[in-house]
Amino acid sequence: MDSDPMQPSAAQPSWARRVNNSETAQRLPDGDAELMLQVRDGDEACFTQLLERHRNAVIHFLYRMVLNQAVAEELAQEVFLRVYRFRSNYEPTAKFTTWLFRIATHLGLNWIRDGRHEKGQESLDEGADGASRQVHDRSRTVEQELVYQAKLREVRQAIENLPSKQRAAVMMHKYEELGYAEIADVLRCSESAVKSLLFRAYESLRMRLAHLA
Amino acid sequence: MGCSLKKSVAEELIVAYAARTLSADLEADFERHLETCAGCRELVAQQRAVWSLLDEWHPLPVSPDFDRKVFERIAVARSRRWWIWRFSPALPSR
Repeated sequence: MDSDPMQPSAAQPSWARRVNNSETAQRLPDGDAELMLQVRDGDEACFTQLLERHRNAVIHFLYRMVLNQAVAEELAQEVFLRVYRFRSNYEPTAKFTTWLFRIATHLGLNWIRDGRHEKGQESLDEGADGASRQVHDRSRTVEQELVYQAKLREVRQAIENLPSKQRAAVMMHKYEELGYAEIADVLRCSESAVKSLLFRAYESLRMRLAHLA
Repeated sequence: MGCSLKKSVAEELIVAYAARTLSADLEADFERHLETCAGCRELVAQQRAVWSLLDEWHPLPVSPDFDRKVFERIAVARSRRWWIWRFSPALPSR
């Protein structure tokens, strides 16, 4: 444990340069905020455009959070309903996607916290044998498909075992490709807290999934 | 020999390296470090494995009537607001 990572020296590799969150930079600057301002001013066609742009990302994010497609879609409907309902208060102080994922994360975490999945709501994505309802890839043999489904079950189990905030951070980092700063904005915490959440989550996943590697 | 990196820095580098989001020069620096650090090499291999397992987890297709349901809920919310506005005695005269 040596030099301060923020202080580069000629003799050492440049760890001081921050790890490049290029995924954040690569997110195209879009006109989401502009569209939302138009929604605020009563242009409903712009709301449809926002829905079309972000529908899949929000549903997929929530699906991976709550591990149930029907619940994910219901929560995603609520996300867009809230976007619409709060349109008159919208101020583009943050990126639109940050606001959107903040609403989605809030709803997802509440759902998990309330333990609604434990109150008799059967996971619709699980068959009677616990097999996950994933799209069957016709290029795989039956045997390969079984191995794949078993692997997937373990991945889902490992994700389900993460504390919910760590799960949210991993989903945003891995699948939505949000950078640390944006995840911190969504979760309303510091960037260092996000890193700590993520590194603990990945450490758990590495341990739980090591045997599948 | 132990790793020469601060733990938090190593973790950040390992995650970013596996995700291929390091800049080219930082990646080259880290690869030089990996040549001499077995601990980081092992963690990189494990992190890459996790990354590719997560890649295999595909989302399910979205229901074709999703948008319609959103607009239905908006319509319901709107009509509810109208009823509250129309019949609430607490509101000022209309």
